[in-house]
Amino acid sequence: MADGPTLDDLHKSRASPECLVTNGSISAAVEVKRLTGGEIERAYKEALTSLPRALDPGCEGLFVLGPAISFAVPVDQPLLRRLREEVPRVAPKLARGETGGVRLPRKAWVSLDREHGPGRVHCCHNYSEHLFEGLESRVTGSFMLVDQHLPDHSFVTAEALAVRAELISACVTGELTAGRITSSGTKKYRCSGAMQKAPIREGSMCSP
Amino acid sequence: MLAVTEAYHVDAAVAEALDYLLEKALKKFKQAWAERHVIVFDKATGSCNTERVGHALAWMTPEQLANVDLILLTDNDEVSVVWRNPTVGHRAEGPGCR
Repeated sequence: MADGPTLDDLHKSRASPECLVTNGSISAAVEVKRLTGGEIERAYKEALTSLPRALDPGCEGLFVLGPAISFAVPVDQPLLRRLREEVPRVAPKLARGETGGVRLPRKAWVSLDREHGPGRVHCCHNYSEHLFEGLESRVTGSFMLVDQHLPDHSFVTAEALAVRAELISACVTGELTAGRITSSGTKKYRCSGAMQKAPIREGSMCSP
Repeated sequence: MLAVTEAYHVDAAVAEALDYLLEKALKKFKQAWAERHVIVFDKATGSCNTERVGHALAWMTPEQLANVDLILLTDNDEVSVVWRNPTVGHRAEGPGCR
């Protein structure tokens, strides 16, 4: 490192490199930058630091909040509010080693593919026929749960599974018409209107 | 808390971060300060490895990096050359050189 004042000291009005180095015969101006992985990684790391504090259940014990499918951080404000309600609800009831369900909202669309013909309900995932059992006999036409943005269905408790079935049923039988959209001849019923009272995605919380 | 990020392309994220830092660094080399101009990226995350940084730098044009001779990536005590100016030559020293 060259002795004496730094480049910044010598050129206060100009942006200058951090330092000058020399081996006695050749000099080099060096600028050093800390390279992080970008905005997404920065926000992720910050969230992992701040979320445990924000979600402190206020009771004794060490808890692990496990991810639901498609759960990613940072979380938005509505989801954070929901977690702040759910974690203190679940955590104090857990005994050591026990796991409890944390209810989180999930959205999807039910699309009417064909108005007439035998009842059929399906989704974008394989091996999910059991989710629509009992529903097809109650509807006319073909419906699809548009959920390709979700990697899979995830239900931890029977309660959430029942709520999901109730919602889809309400959509395909036309009981839930809020948010109805007609797009290129396809009728869509959005489930999200009922989401506040019908959480159908769950994560889990355990006390190790 | 066990959780992942939203899905994103790591190469693109590294390139974006590098682009931002490089723009700031290059502003400081608009004038000649020494015979060699060196930018050092101090690796602060596992995703910014030599390969990704080198790949991101390959998108820069020679004109954009004309005032730089060498770009290094440091990972603790390890230093890698991730870019070297093919036309490196002696630079006339500017007012800041000693």
